[in-house]
Amino acid sequence: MPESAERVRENSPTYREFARLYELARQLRPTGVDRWNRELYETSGSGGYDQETGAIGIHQPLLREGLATQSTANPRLQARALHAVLTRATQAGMDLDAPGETNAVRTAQSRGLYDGVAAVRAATDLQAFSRRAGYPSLTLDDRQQSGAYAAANGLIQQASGASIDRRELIDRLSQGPAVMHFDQVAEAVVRNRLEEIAPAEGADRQAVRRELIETMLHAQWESLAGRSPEAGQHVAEEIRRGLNAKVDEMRRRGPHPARGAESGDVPQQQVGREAPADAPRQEVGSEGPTQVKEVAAARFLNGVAPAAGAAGRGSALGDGSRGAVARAPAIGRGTSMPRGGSAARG
Amino acid sequence: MNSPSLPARQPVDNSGGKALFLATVNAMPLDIPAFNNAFGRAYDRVHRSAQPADLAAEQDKLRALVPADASEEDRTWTGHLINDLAEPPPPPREWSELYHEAVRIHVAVYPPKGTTEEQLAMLADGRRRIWELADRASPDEEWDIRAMTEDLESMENWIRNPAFPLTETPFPSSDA
Repeated sequence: MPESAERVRENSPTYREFARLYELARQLRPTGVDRWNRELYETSGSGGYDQETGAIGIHQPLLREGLATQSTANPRLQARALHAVLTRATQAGMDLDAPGETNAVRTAQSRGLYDGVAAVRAATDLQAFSRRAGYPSLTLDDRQQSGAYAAANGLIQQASGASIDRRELIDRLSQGPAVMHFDQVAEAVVRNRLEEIAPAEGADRQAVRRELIETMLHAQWESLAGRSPEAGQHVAEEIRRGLNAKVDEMRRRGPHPARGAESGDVPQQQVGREAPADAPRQEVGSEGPTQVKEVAAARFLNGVAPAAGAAGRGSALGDGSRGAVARAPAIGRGTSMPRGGSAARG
Repeated sequence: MNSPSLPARQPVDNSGGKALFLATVNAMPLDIPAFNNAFGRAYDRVHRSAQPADLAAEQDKLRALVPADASEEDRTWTGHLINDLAEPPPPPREWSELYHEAVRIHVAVYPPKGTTEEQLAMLADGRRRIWELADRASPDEEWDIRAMTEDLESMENWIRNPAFPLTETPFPSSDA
């Protein structure tokens, strides 16, 4: 179902308003990357950020009716329009791949987490963004969010803590690259819960993070698609327990051998508030879990590709399979936004 | 309760252009990212924490982050946001049967099954059916229903044209 897309002229008020908002979105949470190619399309479908060309597409009514400070459009449409700007700006604001990074994760879950991080960032900043841009105060009920949002939000919630809180983690994730998102989440877990036993940054600390990442990708996501909300909730809980068990296990092992020489037996005290690993974590800033959300998360993390379910299953640290490449390199050209500008509307 | 702190930023820019212009207009510009995160943290403490929070004190702390000589525009939007802090989040919404039907379609097609072609067809069919529901929905729900298809479309685009090859396991290159 190809969608049509029409290029928006750069001297039009719509384009100028989008470009203004795009810059404001970047000011709220600056990153060092900007991959938007300055082409804007109004699309018949959802639109998106085109990874190949760098173009941005937004559903035509959102773009035309939603993006105006004096708009009389209904607030739901306007909220979705600003949310779309934030999402696109977040995706264009980071690289995807990180060649040569040992801890890069290129499984289907990474692809999904990239979408999810953009959705979480957009929902998190929507109210401030709308005020910054001179719009009415707009928010989205988190229960309206996507599966990608639910899954990413769940991971962010579990990894946040006293040292790296939710917003600090969102800052870090917004920087990308996308294939490093799991590593960034794992680093937050280390900083918040394992800092006094973890080695300093380097190969050993990377290995600690890989061990945590395996746990996050683990669990039985694959068995869940299409099952009941209760099953979804159960698996979300499994993930949480799996991660907590891993943190506990690492703590029982004691200080990492690599830090013995540097710190002796005196643990650093930089983690201000040390919660027991399996204690219920206070979900500040989280948007309380609901069954629907969690089953969405399960479907999302499971869902991206047939190979996704196998990720990390039963594998020990660092001994993944032999480089199974689930997908051919990009050869097709079937992106959603045509690079020409002529489409359905003249 | 730790109060948010302002990171030291505002690098000196001698290259002219917009940054210099802004620096001239605002002797002490607002640190927008710091204010954004401070607002978010305050919002969480006031509206999403089990602990009681002191709204007025939180608002005062946010006001303190806005320099006295910040631009008129920055004082205006931060002022709105600081006032917004008093507003509780809207109550959970009651969704119509159309919305729930759209959720069921999303569940049925995500993840897609079968060959690549079958997966693409399944996702496209799901999108089409959800949009048909959105066409019939009230203006209050229409856009939230349509938004459900963003995941589906994003996955479709990726299957058609992956930005990098996916691997089955997280660290295949470290296979020794």
